[in-house]
Amino acid sequence: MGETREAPMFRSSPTRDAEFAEFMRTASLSLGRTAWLLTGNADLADELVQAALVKTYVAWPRVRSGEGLAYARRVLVNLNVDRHRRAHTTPSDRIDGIEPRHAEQSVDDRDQATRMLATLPAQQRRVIVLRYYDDLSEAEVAHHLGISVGAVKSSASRGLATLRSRFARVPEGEGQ
Amino acid sequence: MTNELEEQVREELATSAHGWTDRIDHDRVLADGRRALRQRSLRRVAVAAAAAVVAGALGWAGLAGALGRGAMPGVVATPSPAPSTVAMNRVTFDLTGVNGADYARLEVTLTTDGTVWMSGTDASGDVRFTTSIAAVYVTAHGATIDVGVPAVLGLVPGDPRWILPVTSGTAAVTTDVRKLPSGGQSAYLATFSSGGASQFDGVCWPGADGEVYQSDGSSPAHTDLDFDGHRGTFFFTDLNDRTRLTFHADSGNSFSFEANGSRYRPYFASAHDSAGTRSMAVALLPWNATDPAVDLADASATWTTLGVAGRTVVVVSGTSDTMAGMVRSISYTDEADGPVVQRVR
Repeated sequence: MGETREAPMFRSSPTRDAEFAEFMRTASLSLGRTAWLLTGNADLADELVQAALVKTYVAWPRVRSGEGLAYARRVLVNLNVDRHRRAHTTPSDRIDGIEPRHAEQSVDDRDQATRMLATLPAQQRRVIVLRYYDDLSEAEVAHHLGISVGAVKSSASRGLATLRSRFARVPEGEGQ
Repeated sequence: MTNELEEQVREELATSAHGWTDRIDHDRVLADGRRALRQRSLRRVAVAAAAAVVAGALGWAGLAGALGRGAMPGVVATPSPAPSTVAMNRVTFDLTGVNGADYARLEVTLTTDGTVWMSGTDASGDVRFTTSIAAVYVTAHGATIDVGVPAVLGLVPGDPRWILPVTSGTAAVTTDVRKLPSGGQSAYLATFSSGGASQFDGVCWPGADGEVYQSDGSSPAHTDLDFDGHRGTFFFTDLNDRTRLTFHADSGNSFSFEANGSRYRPYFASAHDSAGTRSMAVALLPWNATDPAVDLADASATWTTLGVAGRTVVVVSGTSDTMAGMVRSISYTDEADGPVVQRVR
């Protein structure tokens, strides 16, 4: 079986570039912060934001007015999911429900938040970031990640439970 | 308490994010974006077909399960003392149809001290081995055991009509689920060919509340299908960081194929209706695809669409055993790429 994509013709235009440059000016900091929390790695975060913005630029005429950030963030999240899956290595051990660290979770250890996020399974981490940093509703998180609202609730609940125990163990002043 | 924790998490995330400064080269984004547009307009993109044909007979086609990446402690069936505690729950799995199994039956007993005992018996009922594992390891994710062939034994809540192992590799050879006499749980046993259990990701099952559950405890959104003799349930499993579009037919057949992130997984799984006269093919469209249309190759074929967790799934029903026999092409409008025609060869 095969497939052929019938790609439409596109041309960049000064209008598109100007609009998109303005969009980037307001959106790239927010996207970068989300990417940083998702990956805990500055270089990876930069790569994700760069790639997400390029894809958003290509799709720009079809991005509804006022929804550029949501669109770009969705692209970013999906790129991160794909990247994680490509980088994923099969862990050899899991004891009593404790997940091993993923390749993604070799973080800069810059601060307490990213260290604690790194202890979460990938989906819980995505849900926690989108829900509690980007302040998306459960339905919006579900839409971003392509999972059910129930899965969002479940992941958030389990992620918070894990973070609660981590908070309890981190002494005052640690992690700076 | 939860609200306090949520606020604490919000503050920690905000504090961490606040230290981030924008390092993106905006000029480079525009240059890369223009280049992408030029490349796309200069050529038609031939995309290699990533045909994900899920195995034909649909018995366990395309699906199987896996124990958290080979994760939980494996249990090799070796002789050991018989259980001395009072048996609270016992079920028996018939292994006579399992090629390579060392035993005719496997008795599984959950005892009051939180231990799962397993006994293999021969055809005459004589016990050939007994071993045990702490019940804490026999969760919905299951524990790997060896009954002559690799197997996964697990416990799920309730009394599900079916259990569906999900694997990233070879599908389970057999699957059985049996309700324990008390305690509101059921035990399942999935057997695999050599090596198959190492790619087990988990299981799915229907709850008494009408929801579908997966072994991490979450409940993926599901959509029921009743179309041209095909009846069953579509849902996305999300186990071991792998997302799959999964279909479980009321007839007991099932299939799934990987549907990662934003990537479009074009083709197709096949299935038969309960009468075995109509085949089914499925295409998962990309995020935000609109205006799906199907150019049918088979005059007797028919198609429909349904939404599953926000994605559009095209279902084609016909008499051919292949998608190509039923469909010439599927077209839709892609949010990013515009009109797209997926030709089937």
